[in-house]
Amino acid sequence: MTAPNPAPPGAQLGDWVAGVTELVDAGFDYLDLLTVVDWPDAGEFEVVIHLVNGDAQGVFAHTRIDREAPVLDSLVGILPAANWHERELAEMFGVTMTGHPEPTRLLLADSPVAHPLRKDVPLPRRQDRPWPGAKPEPGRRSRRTPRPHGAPDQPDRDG
Amino acid sequence: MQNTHGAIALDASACTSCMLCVRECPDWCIEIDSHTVEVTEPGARRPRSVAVLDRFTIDWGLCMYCGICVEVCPFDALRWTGDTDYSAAEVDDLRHGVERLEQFGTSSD
Amino acid sequence: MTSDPGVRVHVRDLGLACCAVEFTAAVARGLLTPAQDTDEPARAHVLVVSGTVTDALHDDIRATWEAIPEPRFAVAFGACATSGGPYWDSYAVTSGIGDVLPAEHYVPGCPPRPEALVAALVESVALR
Repeated sequence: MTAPNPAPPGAQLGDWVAGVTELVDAGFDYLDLLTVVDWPDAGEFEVVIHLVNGDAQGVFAHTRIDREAPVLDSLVGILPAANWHERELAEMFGVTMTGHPEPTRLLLADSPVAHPLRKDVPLPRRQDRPWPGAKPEPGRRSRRTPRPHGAPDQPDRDG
Repeated sequence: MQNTHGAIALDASACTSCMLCVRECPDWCIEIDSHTVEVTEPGARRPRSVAVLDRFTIDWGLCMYCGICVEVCPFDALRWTGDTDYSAAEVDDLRHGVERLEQFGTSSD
Repeated sequence: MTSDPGVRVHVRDLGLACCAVEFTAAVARGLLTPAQDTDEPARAHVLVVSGTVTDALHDDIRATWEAIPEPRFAVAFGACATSGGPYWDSYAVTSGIGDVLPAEHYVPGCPPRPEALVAALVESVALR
C-alpha cells in the first residue's frame, strides 16, 4: 500500500457526473458496482464504477478524490440505483455525496462505528486480542517483527 | 466421507514450533508455546538447540477449515481427517490441545 | 422435525448465512424429517443457529427465540454462530450466538457437515 494503484480500472474521469453520463448515454445504464479503494499513503480515495449495457458488456471508470476531505457529486440524478451505493460509501468511508436526496446511514444506522472500511480505522477486536503469531520461534530473537495478515497499517500491531 | 473440511490432526513429533501455521492462520485460531533445549550428542563438536513443543492448541470454534495451516507446514505435521463429531457443550471445550489433536483420523469409523 | 427414532425433538433452523445450506442438506438427505401435525409432542424445541450473527439482528433473534415454546434450547451451528468465525474481527458481527441467546451446544465447522448437526443434536438432547 505504498503507491497509488498502477493499474486503476477503466478511464479516469475528470468530471465525474459528465463522464458517467456519457457512459450511460452510450448504453451502459445498468449500475453493477460503485465502490471506493482507500490509498492512505497517496492520500486519496479511488472511486470505481462498473456499468453494464444490454449486451452484458461492462465498462469500468474511476476518479480520485482527496482522502482528508472526500467529496463527490451524487450520481442519483442519472442513475437512481446509485442511491444505496452512495449511502454505503458515505458511511463506510466518510465520503460526502453532494446532491444526494437522502444522505442517511444505510447499514450502520444503529451502530456507533464510524467509517469502518477506511484502512486507518482499527478493528477493536484485533486490538483487544493479542496475536498468537507475535511470538518469535523458540530460541531465536526475531530480526523483523512478524505481523498478522489483514489491514497492513493498523495501529494494533504490537511488536 | 472425504478427508477435507473435517478435523485437522497434528503429528506433534513432526512439529518444530516454527510458528508458520500460527502466523498464516487467518482466524488466529492456532497457538503454540515452546522452548529450546540444548542437546549434546556423543561425538558432536558442540551442542545443538532443539525446539520442544509445550503447547499446541487449535480453537475449533474459530477455525474456518481453510487448510492454510496444513499447506504451509514445512514438516507435514498437520493433515486433514474426515472426523466431524466433536461438538461441545461449552465453547472452551472446542479448544483442543496436542492430545486431542493427535487423536483425529485414528479411529476406524 | 424429528432427529432420532427414540427421541422426538422439534428442530427449527435460524438460517442466517451459509450454514443454513447444510441444515437444508440434512433435511434433503433424510437426516431430519419434516414435522407432521399428527406428531406426538416434542420432547424439546431446538433452535439451530446457522450462520453469522450480526449486531443488527439481535432484536429479531430474541423475538424469534421468545416465540419458541418451552422446553427449548439453542445450538450454535458452525464457526460464525460459535464465535464469529472468520468474521470475528468485524465491526458488525457478534462473537457468536452465546452473546444473544443461551446456547447449550456448539458445533464446529465452516460449515459443519449435516452429519455433524445430527450427532450434536443427539448428544445435546442426551445431556439434558
